Amino acid sequence: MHTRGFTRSRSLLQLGFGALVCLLLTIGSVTRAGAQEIEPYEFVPLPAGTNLILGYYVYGHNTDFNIARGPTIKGSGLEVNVGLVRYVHYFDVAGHPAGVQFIQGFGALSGGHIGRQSLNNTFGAQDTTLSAFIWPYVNTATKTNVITAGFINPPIGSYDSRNALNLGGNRWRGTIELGLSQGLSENLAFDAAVDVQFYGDNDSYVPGSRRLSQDPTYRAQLWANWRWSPAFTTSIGYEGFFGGSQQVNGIFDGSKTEIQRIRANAALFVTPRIQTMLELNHDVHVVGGFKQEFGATVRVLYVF
Amino acid sequence: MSRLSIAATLLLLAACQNQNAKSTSANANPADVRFTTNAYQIIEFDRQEGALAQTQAKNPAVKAIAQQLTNQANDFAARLAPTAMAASIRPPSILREDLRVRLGQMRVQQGLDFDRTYVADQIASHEELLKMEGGMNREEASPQFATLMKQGISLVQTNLEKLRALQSEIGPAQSPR
Repeated sequence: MHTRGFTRSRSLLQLGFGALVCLLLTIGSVTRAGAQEIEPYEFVPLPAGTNLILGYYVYGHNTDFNIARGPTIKGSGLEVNVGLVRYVHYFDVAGHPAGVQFIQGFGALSGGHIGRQSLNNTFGAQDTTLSAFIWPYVNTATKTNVITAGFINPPIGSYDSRNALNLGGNRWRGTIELGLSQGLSENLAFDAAVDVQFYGDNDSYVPGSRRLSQDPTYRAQLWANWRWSPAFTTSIGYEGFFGGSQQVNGIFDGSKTEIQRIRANAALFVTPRIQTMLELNHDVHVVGGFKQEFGATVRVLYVF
Repeated sequence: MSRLSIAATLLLLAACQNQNAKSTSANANPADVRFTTNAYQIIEFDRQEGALAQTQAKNPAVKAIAQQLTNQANDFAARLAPTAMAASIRPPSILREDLRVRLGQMRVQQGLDFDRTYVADQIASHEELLKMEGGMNREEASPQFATLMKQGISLVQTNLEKLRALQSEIGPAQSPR
């Protein structure tokens, strides 16, 4: 503990305000990935051969910026506008429902500033997400579905080490997720998921080749869902991120992924093939990064 | 690997599955192939929806008719399989797109919603099959398939009457159709 405290103090003293800017270089990689972040009823398996195309628009209005074990800088800001396209295909493996998916995000990070220090804007592609998933246990009698999924993010998104903001991470990432969907009555159901995300190093963090490394991020998610009709559902949810401390050349830089978020969701099938969804969310507590005061996600899903 | 090639690989994987029967013989009768496709689709749909009905339906009458339709589907499949194999016809490997969509909707429904949607789905698929088979000239089919076709249509007509009677008791589906 003492060692870590000393390291943090030394890093802030040595790196100064420039370090704050560096904290944000990979903000794109910690904004919504769109896949590991679950939406209600995503863990109910669909018939083999089914395909989904999903389009997301994700908005985030960020305000205060917190330095882990340091001050919170009020009057900071960042606007996130990201579009995601996601393709999912379902099939069976040895009698178990399974699938693969591909997710690509594009967008803009704008209005970024920590206090009075501007971070400028950026536009580009996020790192692509490739994923495979399988349900090892499905029981329609008890309304229980257990899913496990793996995600890999090759570093092919937009990245420029001279920019304070980037949508790509310039490093490999991988995630393992375990999920549960549990129906409790005709109308009430829960979705829960835990995942751990591992990060490769970014060896070109800033010009001059500083190395960024990061501890794994652990995440827990929960949705409580109420089905009002066969087509319309509403949900309230929680998402918590833990861990994810970042080091620059081995020195803790004050950034981590520690977020407590509340969420609300409504989804409507307008036809049997098309579902529209709106999610609103709010960060109640953030350590080591921006606080998303208001977030919104609009999703359109097409089944074929 | 570019983003485009990753997406193309996934789409190719999806395209490998087959929702139509295929014949490995050059002399296969197209009417037999078409009948095998249609029969397989309704058999598999009845089986999968029937399995869901045993745990998700509320009304005992719905569970009972679902079990009956499942038994009939299994029985008909047992008669169709050797006939199709003898004619070198390979049945589809996946459900037709619209049936998959309906089945996907059913998986998250429970109770009365499930009952109503199940009965409406079954009525729709039975009517659809009668329309498709009605448009076929039974004389075009091989004798073995023509016999199966005749038996199948009779079964579908009988079940359709039962399903309509049940729907008048429990009401129409509320889901978007």
